[in-house]
Amino acid sequence: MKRADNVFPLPYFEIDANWNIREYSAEAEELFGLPFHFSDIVDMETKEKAKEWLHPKHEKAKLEMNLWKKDGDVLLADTYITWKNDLFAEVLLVPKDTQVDKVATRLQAIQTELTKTKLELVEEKERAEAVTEHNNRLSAPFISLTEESALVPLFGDLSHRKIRSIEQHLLEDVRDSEADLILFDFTAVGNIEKEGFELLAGLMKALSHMGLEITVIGLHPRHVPHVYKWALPTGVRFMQSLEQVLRSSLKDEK
Amino acid sequence: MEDVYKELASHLLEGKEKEALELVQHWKEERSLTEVHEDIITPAMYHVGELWQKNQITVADEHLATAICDYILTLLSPRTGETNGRKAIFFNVEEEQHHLGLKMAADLFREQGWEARFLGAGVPNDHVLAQIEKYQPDVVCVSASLSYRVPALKEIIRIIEEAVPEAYVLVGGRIVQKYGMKEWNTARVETLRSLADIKDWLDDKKEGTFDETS
Repeated sequence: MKRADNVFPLPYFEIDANWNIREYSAEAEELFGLPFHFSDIVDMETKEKAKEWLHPKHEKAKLEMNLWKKDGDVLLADTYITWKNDLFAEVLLVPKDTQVDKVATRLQAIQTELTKTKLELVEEKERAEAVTEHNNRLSAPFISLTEESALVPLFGDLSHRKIRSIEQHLLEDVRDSEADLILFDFTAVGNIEKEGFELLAGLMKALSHMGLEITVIGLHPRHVPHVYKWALPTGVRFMQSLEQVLRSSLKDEK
Repeated sequence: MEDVYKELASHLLEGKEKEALELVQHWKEERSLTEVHEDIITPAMYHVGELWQKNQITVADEHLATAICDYILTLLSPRTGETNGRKAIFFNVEEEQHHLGLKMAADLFREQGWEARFLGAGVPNDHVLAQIEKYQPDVVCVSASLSYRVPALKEIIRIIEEAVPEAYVLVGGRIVQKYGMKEWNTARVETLRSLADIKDWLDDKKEGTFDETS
């Protein structure tokens, strides 16, 4: 094996039919060190292809190959092969790193499209979550009835998320008011979820610790098993409807 | 079916994403997502690989086909918003760029109601680990294609096992497809060769480990 002089300023090998390297250019040495055998630098995934094309049956061939550089990186190169005769071939490599412009531009466009779609989806999701959150917060308005009493009608399904959304403003409203009786109206409640119910029970407990009297009204028969099973804090009273509460308080005043 | 995937491959190679998408969506109308993945998209991409082996296309063409295929997979991905509460995370071994199979695997989980987080390709190990620790998945899926990634693959499996010992680790990609790697299997680690294997694994676990009431 000897170093070839006066060849192109490119990695170049002369090999025999068994791929033994007979000559190499300075550029080849710089990239690949001094392999004895050409297959030493051919990437495993390229070998089958190389076996087919780097063969005397193709007198001239051009193919893309992945080759291992001496620094441990893979180099993609166009490989030009010319068999001088059945025994020896010239192998000229043209590294491809800078030739991907066409793909890079197209890829960029697609990546941008993907990122945009993803961002739009995320924004849409956030918008939807904000609307839900807003709706949740409006699902338990605090309505003062008299100086001492207030009504909190609950709307929709009692989910954990909903109760989380309402608890803060409810506690603040109660603190700011003079009320000592809170009526939780279940008339417009849909489904009751266990986690939501437990959080609401906790909230009622907190209110009763603050010295408030809690009354639940408007329970629908389908709510009752849940309320019974998951239990509200002791001390919470139940009445049928707002009408009944008002009537009994009027009676009391008389 | 051969005509269909070859037609898809040629759309992908020519950069015709609209035609490619229309073709796939047409087939999606009568088939499950898994069938579309296995019978059309996967063979189309294998065909692209074969064309490179046959010296008919360049790596640049392959990259273009991959990018468009990726785009199509994203648009086909099932996102219902409703999940069964089970979580899985998907990533490639460091520096591995072949991620389409993994992306299809993630969709397979999504189709079965799982919440799936696809970290994609080229994510460094420490980032993967941070994500796993934050996300606390039930299943971690890792993939590698090129055989010289085997040491990196073994290493990341060990790291995951330490970080989330309760999680199942599923290993896939061309390394497993080619060499099986059954010797890696333990109670929590399993090598799976194909999308069909993943589907079987999910069905199998649904009966016991991940049934609705657990």
